[in-house]
Order: sequence, then structure tokens, then C-alpha cells
Amino acid sequence: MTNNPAERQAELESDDSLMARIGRGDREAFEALYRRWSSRVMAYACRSLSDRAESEDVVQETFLSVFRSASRYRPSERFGAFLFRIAGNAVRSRWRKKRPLPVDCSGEEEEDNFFQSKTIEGEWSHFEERERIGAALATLPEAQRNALLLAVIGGLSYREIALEEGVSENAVAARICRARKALRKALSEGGFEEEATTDE
Amino acid sequence: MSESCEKMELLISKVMDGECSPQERKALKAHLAECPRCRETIREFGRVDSLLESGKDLPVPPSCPKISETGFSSRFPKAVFLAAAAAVAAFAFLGGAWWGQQKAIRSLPPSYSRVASAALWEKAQDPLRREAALAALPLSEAVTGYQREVARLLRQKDVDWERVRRLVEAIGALRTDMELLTLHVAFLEKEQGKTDPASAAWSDLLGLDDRGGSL
Repeated sequence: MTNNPAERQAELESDDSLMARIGRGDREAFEALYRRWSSRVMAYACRSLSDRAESEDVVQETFLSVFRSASRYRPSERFGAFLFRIAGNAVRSRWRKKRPLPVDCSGEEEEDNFFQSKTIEGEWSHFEERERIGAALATLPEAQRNALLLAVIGGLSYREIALEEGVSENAVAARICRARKALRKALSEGGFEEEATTDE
Repeated sequence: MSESCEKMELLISKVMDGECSPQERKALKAHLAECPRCRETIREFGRVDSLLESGKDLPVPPSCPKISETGFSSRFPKAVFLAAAAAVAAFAFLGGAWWGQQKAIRSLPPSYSRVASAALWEKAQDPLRREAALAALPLSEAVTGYQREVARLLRQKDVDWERVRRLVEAIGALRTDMELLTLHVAFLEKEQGKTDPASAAWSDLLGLDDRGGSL
């Protein structure tokens, strides 16, 4: 929590109100919106791309795009859906360039900290789970992975995802369920369910 | 796993995302009361979501892009801003010719060709500049061609304004591409700390235009 009164005020404002201010060139509003959403966009990008540098680029690109479009923004939809549509496009443009590799996003610094951990057994188990889920996520069909991440990390509704992906809400529900089942399988056995490799 | 359990997995996934209808919730609740396996599925799916949401293994986002008084900035702040300025300049210039067609049409020098030729002329061995020059030349030629076509159309008695408008838009887009290309090179050179006379000449060229604006 910030000690700056202007920043505290901005933290209480709605996304739409901040966007209106950003549209008038208000930098503090932009920074407040960034503080509020950047971690989720980063998490979405990192889970999608398994690449820290590219994920940072996605965050920057997304928020610059938000800034540029703020003056034209109309709150006809939830801001989160608007934001993750931009982030989704940024991620997809990178998918087209390369297939993500099943690597964990965690950095070397964290690994150093990890190996100094006193509760190493519990940490090791958690570390392995994260590795497995990261690897499994990278092998999911793109549509399943994107739908799951938009729902779980982006907090988008099935309807919002369906609109973005151009499919029915039922198809979104099926994709997300298949993705969860595949990841559950990866966690329990270190393998992947057959259904993860096919899409509806 | 029973067929019923398979159907319930879909409902469990939906209920976790707050997407179940009241009827579906009711059916799921009744099933869960009798099915320990599906109760376990809830726990497992919850674990999956928890790991996905967990920020522990995720790097922190980069710092907030700095927004200048006049616009925005990021990794290529000047490039983006100047590209927009170039597009505006192109529209303003050609728009002026459009509306002032009764007056003598001023010449439309293809100043971008200077950039391309300068890149070849100065330090042609530098791969960065050579690559930029090779990419810039066809853009430059296209801009020149479009400009000539606009000039030709504006000299006609019955001007095809729709065609002029489309050409002006195309010129704006091409000029933006060129602006980004050339400024990208300048930015990379600046990052590499190149301050030799050739780089200075290059930067001057980027900042100057025979129409008084950025290229």
C-alpha cells in the first residue's frame, strides 16, 4: 500500500474512471492501473509463453496499447476483458513466431533462494509440481491453454472468452475442463492425458 | 470412471469459474454427496488452479512504462512518438496539397531516399545499416511512386478524391514503417554507444527533413 495520498486515491478508483483520466493524459492514473493489473498480465503471459523476457515485452506492449487507446475507450465491457484481449493478441503474435518451450519461468535468483530454504522437502514438492504444471501447460493445445489462463488468471467469463476466441461458451467450457484434466494428470503422474492433445 | 462422473467433471470445472447455472449446481451438489471420487476431483482441480495462480514462481512485471508530457514512451519511446509525428506530417503535407489543388502544386521530394542512400553511402559495411538501407529502398520507391500518382491525380480536371484519399493513407503507412525502421537503427546505435561522425550524420538526417519536420 502506498503512502502517497494521490496514489491511495487512485487505488480506490474504478478501472473505467482511471481509463477516463488516462485518456486525458494522466500519468498517475496510468501508473495506478499498471500497479493493479500488471502482475496478472505478467502471470498470464509467463504461463502462456514460458519466457520471462517475452512476457515482459507483452506487459509493456499491452499497457502501451491501453494508453494509446484510452481516449477512445468506452466502458461497454469489463476493463479486464478489454485488457486481456490486448494481452491475448500480444501473446498470440508470439505464438505464431515460435512454439513455447516447456520451461519454468522462475529465475535463477529464486532457485538460489530455493536451495537455501529450510523447509526443503515441502519446497521441493512444490517446485516439482510447478515444473510439471509448467511443462504440461506448454504441451496443451493453444486454444485450451489460452481459455484456461484467461479464465483462471485473467478472470474472464466464458462469454468474454467465447467472444474473443470466436467460439461458443460450451466450447470454452469444454476446453477449460480438458485443460484442467490434463494438468491434473500431469500433477498426479508426471504424464499427460490423451484428451489434452485433441481439441473439440 | 462412470459416464455420470465424466459429465460432473465439466460441471466441477464450470462451478470453479462461477459459470454453473442453478440447475447444474443442484445436480452437482447431489452427485457430490454420493461420489467421493468427484469430491477428490474438486480438490485436484483446485490444486491446478492454485498452482497456475501462484505468483511465487513468476517474475515480477517490468517497471511501468514512462509516459512523457507529450505522449508515451517505452523501450522505443522516441521512435514510436516520431513515427506518429511523421504520419501526421505526411497527412498534413499531402492534405494541404489536396485542399489547395487550385494553387501550384509544390514538388514532392522523396526525402526517404536520402535515408536509404545515406545508409549505403555511409558505412555500407555496417550490417545494421546495410540491412536498414535494403529494407528502406523499396519503401522509399513506393512512397515516391504514390506521391507522383497523387500529384498526377491532383492535376486532373475531375479529381478522383477517393483514390487520392487511399493513396494518402498508403503513403502515411509506408512513411511510418520507414520512420520506425530508421529510428530503430538509430536507437540500437545509441544503445551501442556509437558516437562517431557517421552516426552523428545519421542522427541529423533522422531529425531533419526538407519540409522542416521529422522524416
